[in-house]
Amino acid sequence: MKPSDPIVDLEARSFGRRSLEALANDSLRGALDKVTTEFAKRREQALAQAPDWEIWREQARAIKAHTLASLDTYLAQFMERAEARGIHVHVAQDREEACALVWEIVQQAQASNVVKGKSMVTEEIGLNEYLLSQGLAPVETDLGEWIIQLAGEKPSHIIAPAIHRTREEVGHLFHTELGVPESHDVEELTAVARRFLRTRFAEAEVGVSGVNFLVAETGSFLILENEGNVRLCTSLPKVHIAVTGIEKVIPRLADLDVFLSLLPRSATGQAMTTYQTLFTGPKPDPDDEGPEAIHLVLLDNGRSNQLSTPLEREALACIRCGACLNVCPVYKQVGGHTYGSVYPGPIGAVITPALAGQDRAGNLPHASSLCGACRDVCPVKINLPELLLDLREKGEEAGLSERWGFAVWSRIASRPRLSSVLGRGLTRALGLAQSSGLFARCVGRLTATLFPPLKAWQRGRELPPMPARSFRQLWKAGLDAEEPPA
Amino acid sequence: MGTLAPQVGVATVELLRRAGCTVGFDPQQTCCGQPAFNAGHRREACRVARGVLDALGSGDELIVVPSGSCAAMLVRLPSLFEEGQDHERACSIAERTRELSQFLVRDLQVTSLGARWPGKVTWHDACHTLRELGVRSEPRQLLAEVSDLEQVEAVGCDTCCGFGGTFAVKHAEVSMAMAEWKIRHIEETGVTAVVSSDVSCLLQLGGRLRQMGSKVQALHLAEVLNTR
Amino acid sequence: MSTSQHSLLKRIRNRLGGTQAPELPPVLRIVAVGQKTDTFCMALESVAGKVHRVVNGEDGLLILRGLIEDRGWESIACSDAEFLAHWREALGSSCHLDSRTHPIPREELLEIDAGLCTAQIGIADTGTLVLCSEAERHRLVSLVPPASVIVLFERDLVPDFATALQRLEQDGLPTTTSFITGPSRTADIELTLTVGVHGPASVDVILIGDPSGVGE
Repeated sequence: MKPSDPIVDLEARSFGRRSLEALANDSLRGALDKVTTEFAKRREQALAQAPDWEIWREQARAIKAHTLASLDTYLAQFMERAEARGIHVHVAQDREEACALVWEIVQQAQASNVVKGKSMVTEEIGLNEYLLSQGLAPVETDLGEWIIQLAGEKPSHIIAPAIHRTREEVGHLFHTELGVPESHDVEELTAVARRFLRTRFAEAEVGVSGVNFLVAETGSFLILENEGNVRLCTSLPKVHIAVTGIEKVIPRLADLDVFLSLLPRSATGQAMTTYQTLFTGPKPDPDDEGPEAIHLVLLDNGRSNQLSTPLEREALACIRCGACLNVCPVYKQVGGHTYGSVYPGPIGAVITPALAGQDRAGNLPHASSLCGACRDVCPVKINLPELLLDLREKGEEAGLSERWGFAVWSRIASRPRLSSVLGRGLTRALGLAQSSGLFARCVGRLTATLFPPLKAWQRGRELPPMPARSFRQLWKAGLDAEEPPA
Repeated sequence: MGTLAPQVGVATVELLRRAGCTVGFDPQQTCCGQPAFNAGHRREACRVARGVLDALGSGDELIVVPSGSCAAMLVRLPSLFEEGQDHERACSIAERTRELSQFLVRDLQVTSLGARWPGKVTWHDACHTLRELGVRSEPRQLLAEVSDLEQVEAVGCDTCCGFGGTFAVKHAEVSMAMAEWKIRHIEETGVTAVVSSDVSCLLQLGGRLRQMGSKVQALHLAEVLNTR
Repeated sequence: MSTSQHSLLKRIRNRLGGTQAPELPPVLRIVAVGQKTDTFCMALESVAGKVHRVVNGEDGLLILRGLIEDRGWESIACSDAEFLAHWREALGSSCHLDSRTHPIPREELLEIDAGLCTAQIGIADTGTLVLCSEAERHRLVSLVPPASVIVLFERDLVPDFATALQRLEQDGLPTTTSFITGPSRTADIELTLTVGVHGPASVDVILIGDPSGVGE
């Protein structure tokens, strides 16, 4: 059964419509403002204690630039060494293959219970929906993921997937879905999660996780977390399936140092997450603790489409910290769901077109004011605005009217005298709209409607009083002649 | 800017002269091409920016631009014209380009221009000015030297106003929400004006402020510095 | 190498198109300075862990007994670390040993109040405990019970993560290396921090200073 395409739900193209819905949702906007501000603040505080931050960033950028430009070498090394340690390494070209692979392993394990740690990649491939279609209901165990699973929603933020939900909403959700008394106390709600999920960990035959870093040198992989649910998912069940993108590989074990110094600080402002677990093979003795088998699924799903140029490869350097979301002024207003992609915000706008195709997500790079705040905070120095510009140039998003508009504009604007005359005419006409006569105002308004951009502009912004003369005219009228004062 | 806000150009010329500069202007220039470039229409951007190459490409004077985003675009010209003479001219322009406050403080080493503007203002860091040109302290230093002017920092002073070129009309509601977010924080400070070095930001913020009937004005740095 | 692995690598190579990769920078070791023990204590306590400094194993056992009484723990799951043999004996029936030959059944482990084990390395810079899977059986004991007590020897403290990695590589990487920094936590609801989610809600480290580190 072909899984539906979850990375971009069919509505990704209606960023516009969804942004209107988001803007009308006061509770969401309040939550977004609060959360993005808080995350950004924590990051700032952590950086204040890290005087070598820029040195770390540059190191990480350089490591990724090198690794991604030699990705085949490092993946080959990783696969060889991981397999030598006893990890089963599988490759999936796309989400269908990935889901099928996971399902096969689940069947071999004769599993009827699957627990999951937080993994954006498994959302990307629609694993939960696929397993459900096969009659198996995987249980999310990360608190935020569990909340949105109960609510039937998608994550709205890379790090904190349920951040768009208030405690009251969560309390109500638990009450409705789990039958517990409604509470709005965060500690009580967390305790509910612990209670409910405890037995799931114990009865699951298979635990699914994501991966934060693959280490080529040792054939190991590393997972970070704060809650402990990933440790449980990967220790109690007899089979551990880790799913990850091919871009996650780093060359040396020692490189973990710089990445682990950057990631928690960028994501949550922590110097270190509560748990990091480094997996370097299944247990040597069958009587030891831990799973009998570790399966690792390496996913391409369009990532290899971003390997051709150094700029494109930068997008693959992302370590999924979410810092760009927290400073993005657009994300702050509309939140993650508006993007209609598993990966929202600036990084989402840059990788989704490659993963889901231009036709489905080519509009996303345009949903940005190109302010550059994201580039400033990216721990691996991805030049996000440059990537957005590159995608805008390569994409074919512009409708006929826009292309026509710019074509005409550029021919006018490259002719000084013509553009001067037309510019004055336009300001004269718009000035009429600002004058007192009714007829004049009508003419002015009509002018505005002839230019759709002007119409859109004026929906909420008033033009300034139109000047009587342009700068060019003023210059010629005498401004050019003055000398500097003695 | 020449069409919609010529007073900014006039103020710039006057205050540069007061600072002792000889100011020239080549009427052959039209636009730096940024609106097209940012929307992904490189060819159209080049067509327009060529006028800048012709007008400004062979001089040796510094090019002072009272607009951060235009200055940033001029600095970027070498990547639009990558070959031959065009590239040389583009590099020459890029080297000689200065945003206004950058020029005054770093090149002329002047912060006091004898200006007087009674009132409370807050500075808005335009994105290109801040992030591409690295200009943050210079405008604040200049404002600090204006008599009777009180300067306060607003929360989110370096957050984007929401203009973003075609973004402002393609995603008009989000653009306005971004402006409103900033305006809320600006109004919290009790200022009478928000000051910036970017005409696009002023159109955006000013446009929304006017629509809201706010008492807060949106002013260009040159206008403030040119007031006595 | 499987066919799918092969075709992945081939596809990547094609896309890269023989590009010249920029140089890989030499390893950057992020080193920490300062008095290790003090740094370790401050760092762990800043994330709601507790450190109890003692001079020898006997004093450590006293601390443990104190914790058991204060916290009302009726049962303790204990790893098979050799150092803890004396402690396990002293705790008597409240102690459940988790060993290869006598593993604690899952349903039982889920009901136990606290877990006790040792850590192989301590990282001073961040207050982190490093547990190596082949050194002792402590993976579940340090994870499942709601309270965790971990014994660390001062001589096993290293200044920073980089040094810890070096040690691990020298000794041979275990199959599972667990880095633990304090009790489990989440801020998934409204970014409000809650301590104690799926992992232990409390972490008490008994830091033993005696170089011989023996129980008596």
